[in-house]
Order: sequence, then structure tokens, then C-alpha cells
Amino acid sequence: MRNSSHPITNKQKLSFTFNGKKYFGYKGDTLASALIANNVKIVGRSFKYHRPRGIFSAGSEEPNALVELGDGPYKEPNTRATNIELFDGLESSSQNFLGSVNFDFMAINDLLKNFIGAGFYYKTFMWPRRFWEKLYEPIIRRAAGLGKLSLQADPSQYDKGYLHCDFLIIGSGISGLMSALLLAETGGEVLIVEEDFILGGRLNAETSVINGNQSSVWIGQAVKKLKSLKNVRILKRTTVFAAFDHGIFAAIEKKTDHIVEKSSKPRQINWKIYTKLCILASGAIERSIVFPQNDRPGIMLAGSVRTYANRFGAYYGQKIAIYTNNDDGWRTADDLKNMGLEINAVIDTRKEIEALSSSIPSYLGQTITKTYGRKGIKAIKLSSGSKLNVDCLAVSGGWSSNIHLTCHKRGKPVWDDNFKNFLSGGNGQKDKIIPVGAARGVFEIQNIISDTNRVILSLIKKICLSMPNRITLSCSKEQYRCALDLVSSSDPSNSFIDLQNDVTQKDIELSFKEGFKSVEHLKRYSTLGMATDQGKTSNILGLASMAKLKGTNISEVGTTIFRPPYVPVAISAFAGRSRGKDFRPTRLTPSHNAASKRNAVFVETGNWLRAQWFPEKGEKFWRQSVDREVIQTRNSVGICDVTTLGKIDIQGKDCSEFLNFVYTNAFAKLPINRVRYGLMLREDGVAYDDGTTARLGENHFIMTTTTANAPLVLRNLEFVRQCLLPNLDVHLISTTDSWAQYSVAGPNSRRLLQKFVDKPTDITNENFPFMACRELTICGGIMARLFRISFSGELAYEIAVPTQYGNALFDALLSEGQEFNAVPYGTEALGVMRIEKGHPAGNEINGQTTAQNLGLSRMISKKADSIGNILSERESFNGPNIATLSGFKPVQHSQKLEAGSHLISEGKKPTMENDEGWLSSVAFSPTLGHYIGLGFIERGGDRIGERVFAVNLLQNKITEVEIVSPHFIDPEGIKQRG
Amino acid sequence: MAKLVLKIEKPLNGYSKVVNKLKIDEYQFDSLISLAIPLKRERKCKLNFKKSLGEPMPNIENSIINKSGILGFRIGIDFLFVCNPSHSSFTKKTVPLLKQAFYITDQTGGWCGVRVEGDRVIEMLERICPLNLSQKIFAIGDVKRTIMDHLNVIIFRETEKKFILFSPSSSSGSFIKSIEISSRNI
Amino acid sequence: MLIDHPLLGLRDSSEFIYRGDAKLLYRPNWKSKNSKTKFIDYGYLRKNPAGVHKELWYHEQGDRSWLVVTRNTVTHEILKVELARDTKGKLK
Repeated sequence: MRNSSHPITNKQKLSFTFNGKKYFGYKGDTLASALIANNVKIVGRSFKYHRPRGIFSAGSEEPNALVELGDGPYKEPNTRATNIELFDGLESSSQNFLGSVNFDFMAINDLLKNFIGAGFYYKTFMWPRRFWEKLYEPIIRRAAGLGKLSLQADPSQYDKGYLHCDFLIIGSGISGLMSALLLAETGGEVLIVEEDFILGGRLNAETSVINGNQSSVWIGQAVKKLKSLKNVRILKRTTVFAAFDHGIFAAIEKKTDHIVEKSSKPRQINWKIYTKLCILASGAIERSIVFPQNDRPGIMLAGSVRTYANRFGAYYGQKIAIYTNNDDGWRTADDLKNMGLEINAVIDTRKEIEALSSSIPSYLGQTITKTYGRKGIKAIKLSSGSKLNVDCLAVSGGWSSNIHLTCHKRGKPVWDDNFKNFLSGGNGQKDKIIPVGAARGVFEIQNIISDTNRVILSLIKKICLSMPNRITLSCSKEQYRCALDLVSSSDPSNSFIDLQNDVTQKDIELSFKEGFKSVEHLKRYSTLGMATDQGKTSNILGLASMAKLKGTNISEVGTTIFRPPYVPVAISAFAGRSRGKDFRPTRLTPSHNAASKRNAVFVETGNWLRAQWFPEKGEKFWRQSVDREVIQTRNSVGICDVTTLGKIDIQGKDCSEFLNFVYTNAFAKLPINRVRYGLMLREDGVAYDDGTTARLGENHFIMTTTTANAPLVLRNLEFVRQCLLPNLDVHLISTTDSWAQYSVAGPNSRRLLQKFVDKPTDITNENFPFMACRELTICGGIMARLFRISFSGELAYEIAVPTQYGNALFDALLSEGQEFNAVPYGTEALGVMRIEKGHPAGNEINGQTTAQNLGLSRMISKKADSIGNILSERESFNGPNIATLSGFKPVQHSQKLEAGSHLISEGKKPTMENDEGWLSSVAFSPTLGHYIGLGFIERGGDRIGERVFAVNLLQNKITEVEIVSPHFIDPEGIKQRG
Repeated sequence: MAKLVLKIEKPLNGYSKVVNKLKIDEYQFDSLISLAIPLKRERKCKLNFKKSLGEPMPNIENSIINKSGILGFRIGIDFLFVCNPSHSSFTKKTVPLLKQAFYITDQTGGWCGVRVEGDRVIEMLERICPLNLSQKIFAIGDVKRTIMDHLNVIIFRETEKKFILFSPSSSSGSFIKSIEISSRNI
Repeated sequence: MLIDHPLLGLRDSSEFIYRGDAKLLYRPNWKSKNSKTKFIDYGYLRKNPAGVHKELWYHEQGDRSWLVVTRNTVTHEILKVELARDTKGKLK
């Protein structure tokens, strides 16, 4: 029902749907307030027992009113109706029911309540074990329910961001705004974050008078002042959901959720906030009281009933009773009465107080023993026996300071017996989170004003900033006293504690009986406080109940702590824009455009996209292209982009000493303009990376690393440089992106390159032999580097030019190469040729193999110290029986080989004990006309010619293979030296 | 045989767009070199830097612009960059001079520059840049290296609302996309 | 978390790579007696204190310096940050 004289009715009228039915509300409504104004009583069904539930609260503590929003891929389950800002065209629906929300077939669970109490799942479904996954779990999952995902990709955009401030103020109620006004005067950067779509916090829900006016006048003035200040920033619709180390907070901003049209802007922004200090002005959350059938629609938190009436002009009922253990319940009674509503009764559990309002029928020292009305409360019965007809019961069990964020870094709350409330017991990090106002356990407005002044001014004094004046505000005086009467004495199985997880008082009793008495056990056994609301309105009730059972008090029972996130956050908001192809950046090689033009098929290698092969007209299968690329390269000349290999520029007087240390083999005596192959080990003696290093000058080397290890090798070299050998003059710079580097391989490679190299540089074999290198110019003065190295086993070079010339050079090499039938080749052909030549690559140097396995033990110089040198000597790495790199070919040439196959001797079973090695890389060799493989087998070098079986149990394939030299082509290296 | 000519291609082909009132342009330069200070040769390098570029060698995270428009900035204890937008004698005269004290590495092709400018440039950068961009912390002429949207970025503040960002050239496509999305999203 | 870089001030942990126990700074002498045992200890054995811990962080997305960070593993408080190259030789 709506109060037709409330100012909200002058605002824009909005239409929305709930469970398919059309309703109207106003701008400024939440979905919850609009539903209440439209007399919608049942908004959902409870989690376990499917009991009808109505709206319970007016904030993010809501346990009942979880609804689904939107449709199709935009559908969002499990949102709290109390937090949804109403907009025109909003579509919403209930969840967790079978049939309709008013008649739910699953409500049968309610009758079975005695059988499905705490620990039910643990006890019942453990046997037979195999039934769990297939039978029990799916049924339980369907029955116990929250909303359903759309199972489609969310088309909305999400983004992330970073904010920095000196003072983060969480909450914009009176203490938040006061803190902001005071701290802004210090000149520090102030960031105010407010979950609501209006500022003012709890004041918006109250009739408080400040400086002789409605509090909204003061809020308006304060906000206007703050907005005029350059050092203040205000984020509305933003919830701080986590506190992290060193003053870092996470907040989720609903940027366009409340906007009708599907926006091109992101829906939500996940902010990472860095602050020097955090002022926690998050207020307090009201809790309920445990009594029989206390979960009926129409039983609501008293403060929320007041919020709906004062702020939205929305009433759930007209015959209202208030059930309270504290003074604040009376305030609800007063406010509602002043609006002309009928207050049937104030039932106060406290005997010793005087009625706080003379005009309202009051029942002191009484409790509610029964309620009536399954789909909406109709009547209540008191301990005195009298029965009252009501259509709304406003319950107040007192207020709990909202200290969630102080717990996120394991700050343990402490009990304040004065206000029956847990306070922040420090937050695990010195003074980073400072609660003020109700969050600090100060509840009466006049005290909040003076206390906030005191806390903030002493804070400012401590950090020695210029002192602002205290804020003087006059206001109505308030009184708040609270008793700890929270728990009922009868009908425990129908007395609800945690509404969202359907935990009753009986569940607490059961936990107690079965020995789960500590709060941490109680929580996990009964699931108390483990729902999406984290028990915001219920934890204290559970603790009070346990305290009663144990015959002690809450401070001795203790409390569990809250964890992030404070409110549920969509996974998409954590992904931000890093979705699909944008999950990681894409790196393109310098020849990318030239390769695209030639229809290259690209493959992802790390972040790089590399040309995998270049299909030509009529080629239907990748192998056709790859075989052609290999044959054409071996017959004439092929060009491949090898820019992705890591290139590290090493300069300094002590470079060669440094290289001697990081490589197993010596580099000090490498002549200028020569290249050497180097092997790196890890300190544990396992092979790490390999590559060639060229010496361009006395104090200048260029190291190449494998593509995959490029950043890791640089990191480790920096470690050696700064941490192990800080007295060497060595400087390392990654130049992977700075140089485009192409392999030019094949018998015609020299003739092709001679067309590019500027005179008088001579690259004939006599003057530029195998493993030579030099800086030179090409194409009339373009700086370039040429390396006579070969991965394919052919006469080959790698030529490097500054990246900006890369695409043009790739094009030019191919067009100038036409006379030789030059071919571009991709990573597949590159791989085939290196396997044919027997060069190890990532499959061989995979972090499990040693120099000895690779047949490179002679590369470990024993004359000087180097990384991994000592531990490479360990016994298990040496000896006659270690597996060594070998070549393999199928005995039946038509047979295919599978990488990963294990090698087993004839007559032995394919078991781990008989495992003698494995195939690491295989390829079809177009040069030889059959499959070939590289692999490791025990005593490989001594077993050339022997036949073993390559066993692949996954594909159920056994292939007889012959052990051969790993160098399938040109084992003497005549071609590459030619 | 006709003389072979290789055409220069800039990482973003001279990109220039206005998105959401933010001006985004590829920042083009003729050359970008890095200078490493040899061990215990800071003093010699300082003198050389002043002689070569006419400005004092900047401290860490600071920069200089000399009268030829050459930008120098220091991002490590022994590590600087010098960026020459267009001055003609840089490669022939300045670089050999610098070589007398520093270890020089040419990185012209390794980086992509983007200049972003506009009233809401800070709001845009807030979406990708973890650094505090308040002028109290990040003054005009300051330069820092950080990570933005998974990419390594060097960020240089030209004025209150104008920045130059450098990021590795191989990922320049992802980089400009990231800046565009950030500009659209504010 | 934030690391107070001795040259650059407070920087976000996303710019850093974690390497672990700072004992890695003290690589054994390869010619020493029992060098194999010492290298095994160096490579594999780590203390895992609940409390103050010296550890190595690499500012990979920043100035590429290796740092020795003294951090309380219980409170996550960072007590001291030094350039690794400066600490070398100072303590052992």
C-alpha cells in the first residue's frame, strides 16, 4: 500500500513486472519498496523447506527476497530486491519454487522438516557412496535452491578500475558525511562510497530533526559542500565488498544496472581502492528475535518497516504489532502511528521498563508464542495467552554494528554488553579501518555527532594535519537500550534463526547435543550464517541460542568472522574486460600482415600468434602445406619468422664472465662476430633453456632464448646479475620486440641474401662461415644483423632488422626469392625440419630432462662455476643406464608414431616397471617419406638398430620402432657448413 | 637490378582518433634508445649526458626534454631511455657521443607510443592504470613503468591532462584496443 | 598488497613476481667441501616461519630490480624493503 501524500508519489511513475505481472512504482523506489506498495506478500520460497517468504529487511542484509532479474542471457539470479533500484521496464521473478511461488510443490519439504535438520546431508547421503554423485547430489541441488543461471554468455560489459585516496569513507550516513566534511578540510583526497543510490544513509529512513529541520535539509547542505570540493569524490551505488592488506579495498559499482536502455557502457565496475585510512561508517544492521513461526510473510525487521514507511511511503500492512527487546522498536511504533497507521500492540520482552508511548497498547515482559497465516501473517499469540489480529509484525532484536570489513583481515570482534553488540576488535592491521557512528557501537544520534567529531578530530591530530573546527549540530535526543532476549522457549523446530539457510533453533540444539558447540563447528554443522547474506540478521541469534544451551553468555561463546565478499559479486565483474580473445594481450610478429596476405593459418604460442603453415590453392590438409614447405625449403630456400625467440642484449665489461656462469659452457673465448650454442641448467641440474649467443663486440653479446622461456630467462638472468654477481658490470635488455628476425634456410639462402646485403660485405662461405655473425647494412643502409645459424640443418641464416622494417623485409625476401621458388614456412615445417635434424626443443627440454639425457653432458664445463653445475653431478643424473636422446622410426614405414608413447622392450608388458623411455616429438618427414620421432630411451646411444615398441595406452596403439641416430638428415653437418 | 627499398611501418600506422572527447594519437618517433649506466660510472655518465643532450641526467622516474625536443627519462637505477621524435642529427651525432659513457641499445622498433589527451584522461586511465595519477604524486614530467591490462607500459606525464604511453610493439594492437575501450567506458 | 620500493615508493603487488626465501642470495661456494650437500640444502630446503620472513620479490613490470622484502607472514605487515644488490654482503 502506498501513502498517497508521500513525496515519492510526485516523482516519475515507473512500470515493472514481477512473476509476469505488471506493477507500478516511482522513481526512487527499490524493487522491494515497490512490491510492498503493491501488496505483494510472497516474494520467494525458503532454501530448504520451501516455506513462503516475504520481504524481511530494507538493505543488503536481506535473507528472503532473492529474485531473478532480466531475461535470456541477461538474466541475473540471486539479487536482493531490497538493493535493486527500480527502473521503467524492470523484469523480475521469484526463484526456488516448483509450480508458482504461491503454490510450491517443493513445500512438501516443510512437512519433512523433522527429518532434514542440521547435519542431515552428512548423515543420510553418505551411503552407498556411489549414489552421491549420480543420485543424491543432483536431487538435493535442485531442491535446495537458489536461482538458476541462464547458461549463456553474459552479453553485458564489465570493467575494472583503480582509485587512490587518503581517506576512504564507507557509508554516507550522518557519521560518514561528518567524517568527510572534517577530513576534506585537511586537503587530503576523500572518497565517499555509498551502497545506496541516494546519500544520507539511515537518516533517509528516519524522521530525525537536525538544526531544527528535517535531516534531509542538512544532508543536502553537506552533500552540496562536499561536491564543491575538489578533493572529494563520491561514488553512489557502490559497495565495498572486501578489505585487503595495506589499505586496499574492493568495491563494486553498479554503473548502468538502473538504466532502462541496454547501455554501451559497462554494467558494473570492480574498483580496487588504495587508501591511507578507511573510515567505516557502515551503520548497523537490525536483527530478529527467535519465536515460533517467526518467518511468515509480513514479519519484518522493525527498522525496515519504518524505512519503507518514512522513505518510500510504502506499508506492508495496516494493523501492525511491534515485537521488540529494545527502545528502537518503540520508535517504529511512534513513526507509524504518526502517519495514521493502526498500531495494535508493542510487545516488549523487557518487564522492568515503562511503556515508552502512552497512546499505544503495550505488553511488557511478554513474548510471542505463536503466529498464524501461512501466506501472510494474520494473528499472533502472546505468552499471556491473548491473541491479536495483525497483518504486519515488526520485529526488533536490537542493532548489530556493521563491522564485516574489519573482519576481512582476521580482526576478531569483541562483545559490548552495554548495547548487546559485537564491536570491531581491531582489524588485523594498525589503524587502517576506523569505525565511526553506529558501526562503532554508538547508536543515539546526539552521541553519534559528538563521538564522530571526537574520533575524527583526534585522528587528524595524530596524523598532524591542520585542525578543522568540530561540527556543531543540534538534533532531537534519542535513547537506545537493548536487552538480550532473543531466543524463544517453545517450538524450536519452527523457530527460525537463519532465514536464508532455514536454520532453526532446533538445529542449534542438535548441534549442541552432538558436540558441535564451538562457533566454528556450529556454523559448519548447522550452516548458520553460511548463506549469501552471511547471517547478517541472524548470527547473533544463533550465538545467543548456543550461549543459552551452554549456560554462558555470548562473549564466551564468541563469534565467527565475516569473509569477503560483503555482498555477492558476479564472476563477470572479476573477469572485467578480460574475456574471450581479450583474456590476454595478443602479440603479433613483424611479418603478421605479410603472412595474413599469404593466407597463413596462425597458432597461439603463449601470447604470440605465429604462422603455422601457409596453405596454397588446392591444398586440403595441413600436411600437404607443411610437406611442401619442408621440401621447397630443403630444395631451394624458405623463410620463417623467428622473431618470437627471446633476444637479450647483454653489454658490459664482465659479460663473458657472466655468460660463463649462466651457461654450462664457456663463452669467454668466443671470438667477436661468432655465435655459439649454449645450454642453461637450473640450479638443481635439470636442463632449463638453450639457444645461441652471438658476440658482436668485446663487451657486447646477443643471447637468444626459446619463445616460451623468454621472460623467464630474463628474470633469472637479472636474478644472477643483481643477487648473485652484483659486482659484475653487466646490463641486460630484452630486445625481442625491437628486432624482426627471419630464418632464411635452404641451399639458395645465400644467393637470396646476397641480393640484400650492402656492398662490400661478403657473406661467402670463406668470409662468413657457419656460426659467423655480424652487424651490417642491407637495402642501402638499413642496419641489420646476420647470423649463420641453422635449425633446419640446411645452409641457413637468420637475418634481423629493426621491427619497423620487418613486414617489408618479409615481403621483399619472398618477392626477391621468386627466382629461387622461395617459400614462406610456418612453425609446423620449422618443427618437422628440426626433428629431421635432431635438434632438441621444448618437448625435449621440458623441465624433466638433463644435459646427460640430451646427450650434452660434455657441454658442462668443469673448469668454472656455473648454475646447476654441481647438482648435475648427482648420481641419478649420471651412470650408464640413463635415458638419452635418440631417433626412432617405425619398422613398418607406413605406420604413424604418437608423441608421448612409452618405449617397452620386446616381450615385456607395458607397465611402469618396464618403461624404458618415451617419444617426445614426432613428425612425418617428407624428406624421408615416413614418420620419425625423437625420444629418450635408456642407453640409447648403445642400442642403435635395436627394435622396441612404442606403446600408447590412451589410444591403444602399439608400434614397433627402430632406434636410430637422432640426426635423420645430414648427420655430419655438411649442408649447414656448405 | 633495381635497388631494394624497405618501407618503414609504425606499429599503429599513424593511428589518430577522438573517442568520447579524448584525443588518442600514435606518438611517433624516429628513434628510441636505452642507455645503461656502467657499474660505478654514474658520475661520468652524468657529465656525458649533459654534454650530449644539454640537460642534466634525470633522476629515477624523472625526465628531461632538450631544446631539440629530445625526451630523456630514467626508469631504473642504472637505466634510461632517450626518445628522439624527429631531430635529424641524433643518430649521427648524439648517439655516438652517448656511447662514450653509456651502453646503448636501439629499441626503436620495440616500442609503440600513444599520446592521450583530454579533460577526462584521468578517468580513462583509472580503468587500466594501477598508479596514483594525482599530480601530488605524479607530477608533470614524471615517468613510471607499470602494468596496464596485462601489458608493460611506461607512462609519461606531459601536462596535467596529457600523457604519452609506451608499450611493447608486438602487442600494440591489444594496447590501443585497451585504451579505446577505456575511453569509451567512462 | 603494496610494496614500498626503496627507489619508487609504494607499488602494487601486481607489478611484482614472488620468488620466495631470500636465502637464495647466498649460493654456496662450488669448491667448498660437501658442495653437493650444500647445494641441495640451497635448492630445496626452506624455513617456513609464521612471523618475520625475508623474501625475494622481482619488480618485473617496473624497474626490474630484485628486492629483499622483510614481511610478517602472519600479519602481512611489510617491515623493510631493500634492493637485493645492496643487501648482498651486508648480512649473511
